[in-house]
Parts: sequence; structure tokens; C-alpha cells
Amino acid sequence: MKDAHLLRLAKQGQTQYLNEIAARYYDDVYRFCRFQTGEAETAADLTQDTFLRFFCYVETVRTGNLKGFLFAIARNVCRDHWREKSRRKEEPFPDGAGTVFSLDAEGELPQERSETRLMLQDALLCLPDFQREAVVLRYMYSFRYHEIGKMTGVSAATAKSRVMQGCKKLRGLLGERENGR
Amino acid sequence: MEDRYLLEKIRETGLAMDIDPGLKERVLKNLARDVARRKGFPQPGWGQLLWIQFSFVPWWLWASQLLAFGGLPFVEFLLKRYTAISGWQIFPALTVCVSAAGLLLIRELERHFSCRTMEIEQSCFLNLTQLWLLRVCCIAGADALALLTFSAFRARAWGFGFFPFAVYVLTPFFFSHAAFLFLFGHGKRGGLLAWLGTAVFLGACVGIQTAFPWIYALTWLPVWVGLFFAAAVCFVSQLMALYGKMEGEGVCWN
Repeated sequence: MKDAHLLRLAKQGQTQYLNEIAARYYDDVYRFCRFQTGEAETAADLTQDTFLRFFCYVETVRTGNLKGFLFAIARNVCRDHWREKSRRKEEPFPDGAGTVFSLDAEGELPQERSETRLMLQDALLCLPDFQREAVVLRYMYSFRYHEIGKMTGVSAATAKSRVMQGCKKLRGLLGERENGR
Repeated sequence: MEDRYLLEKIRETGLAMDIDPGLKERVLKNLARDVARRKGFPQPGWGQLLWIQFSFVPWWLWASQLLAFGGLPFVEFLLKRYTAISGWQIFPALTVCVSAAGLLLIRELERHFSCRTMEIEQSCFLNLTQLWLLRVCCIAGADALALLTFSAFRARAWGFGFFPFAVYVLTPFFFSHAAFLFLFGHGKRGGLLAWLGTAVFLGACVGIQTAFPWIYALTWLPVWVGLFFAAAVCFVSQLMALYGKMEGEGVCWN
């Protein structure tokens, strides 16, 4: 069933279709939240919050881009999470981000590859929120710049420049870590 | 230009992220519990929304519109019986009638500023500007249909074909509606100036037609068709301006 049809049925009051939407997009939203937070448990909680928030507003959704809408909510949920965390005077990002990622299911992959991934995740967490979001939305989910702009409340040009700057910074961070290894 | 290396690495990293089935199951179960508690709140489609708005138009408005348009044959009868007018001389009178209909429509929109806001409460799926838009579409659409019907039945009696007659009648209809919408949109902010401007504009339109009714006979039909399109554009642009006036502002007290 297509997203638009699923959304229409859910909006018509057939709430069981909300479960289907959640099941369909759980993985994507979870990965996005995990990119933003670096913690599996937190990412799962934020994913849950994202869908709960979506359920609250489902009647008023007038967009054809369900996935984009969910990511926009997820982004806001992650931002709220960081805001709440910093209000509690905690560290904005987890220490030693490399250790909080546990890539359990990759015993068969070469150790080096896994290390590169950890480095990448670590470097991503060092980017400012707005650049990390833009880079992940563009490179992980292939959203267009104008879609990213819509999700993050900026123009397509700004979204593009955030991706570019994020990539540049990411390259630099990866280079530093490579050299330090 | 995409950074191929990063693209590959980020994708690879994202896909390699383990999705804990236990966590996933727990989250989906929580969500399902929330969904089960949630009452279905069905959203009507656009057709239904239009019908709801149609049904909310008060009886007095329909009655007065009926008077304005139902009065057309009566006006026609009086003119034919007690004056010696013929042909194009009917149009100034019709212009006054269609302008009156527009004025009544604005009175209906203005009600939302004062009392009986029940309609808005009942239309939580619409914000105020969407509601206005639908309301104007409903009423002006019905009025235009009434005018077309009148034209279809009475054009021959005045020595016109259906098309020119409809164009002559609908042009002032759209112009006056556009002017009234402008007044409605700017009246609150522009105050006296907007009222005066609109009054002068309408007065000039009606006055010119009344003072020189032969302009219908002397001007070419293509010019009137052009004017008709200009009027329609004015009307639509005013509708859009009205819609944009409060964009993003949710009006819902439920």
C-alpha cells in the first residue's frame, strides 16, 4: 500500500494503519535518531516519541511526503532531547562516542571496516546539529536539498551549504583521526 | 557535487547499525497500545468539507441572495412594463443586482469577526482563511450558476446570444466581488481609505454603466471578453490574497 493511501486511511479514523506506518518507518527513523544521539536505547526512545508526536498530528497532516514529515518530527524530537539534556547540565554529546556504538551484528566484517564506521559515527557526532542532520538526510536517505530545507525550516540553498560544510568538516575530522591512529 | 567516499561510508554505516529486535518490538508494542487508546478522529475529504461549509451558510444569506437574483426577473418585468428600455439598457440594472449579491457575501464573511463562530469550531480541519475561501467559493459559485441560468433563459428576450449576455453580466459580477474582497481584506487595516477606494471604484463602475449604457452596444465583444478575464483574474487574486492573509494561523477552539 502506498504512503498516501495509508495516510488517508489513518486520517479517516482507521487507526490500525498508524501501526503499519510505524512498522514501515521504524528502521529509518531509528537510524536517523541513532545518528543524532549515538545511543541505541535513546534512539529507540526518540523513535517512539517521534511516532507518538506523529499520531497526535496525523489528522492535520496535509503533506504528500510522509517520510519527510516523519523525519522533520524526528529532527525536532532529537533537538528537544538535546535541549533537555543540556538543561540538566549534562554533556551535550556522550563521551567517547566510539564506545557507545555497538555494531553487534558484524562479526564477519573486517575489523578495519568496522573501525572506520566507528570513526565516522564519532566524527558525525562532532558536527553541529544542523550540519549533522543535513548530511545524514542527504547522504543516508537521499533527500533532495529542497526537501531537507523544508524539513529543517531553511531554504534549499542553505540546506545545500550545510551539507557541503558538514562534509568538509567531516572529511577533516576523519583525516585527523586517520593520522592519529 | 556529492562526496562519493562519504556517501558510501555513511550509507554503509547506517545500514550496518544493528536494529535490536527486542527494542523494536518494545517500541512498536508501546505505539500499538497508544493507537488502541486513540479514538478515531476521521477527517472529512475536501468534498465533505465543501458540503459542510455549504450547509453552514445561514438561511438569511440564501434568502437575500434569492431576493437579489430572484429579483432579476421581477426587475426585468418592471423595466419592460414601465419603461421603454430594450436591449443593452437592461445591463446597468443587472450590475446593481449582482453587486448587491457581493455585498451580502461580504456581510457573511464579516460575521466571523463578531459572533456565531460556531462554524469555525465545527471546522477544525480548516483555518479561518481556508474557511473564508470555501465560503466564498460556495456562495459566489452558486451565484454565478444562478446568473448563467438567468442568462440562458433570458438572453434571447433581450436580443442577445447566451455567450455575450453571460459575459456582460458576469464581468461586473467578478469585478464587484473582487472589489468587495479587497475591501474585506484591507478594510480592517486600511480603514477609511480602503472603504473610500472601493466605494469610488464601484461607484465609477456602476455609474459609468448607468450613465452610458450604450457602451455595451458600442464596444466589441472581444473587449468585453478581455474585461471578463481581467475581472476573473482580479477575483482570483483577491481570493488568494484573502487566503494568504492569515496563513499558518490555526483557528480551532475544540
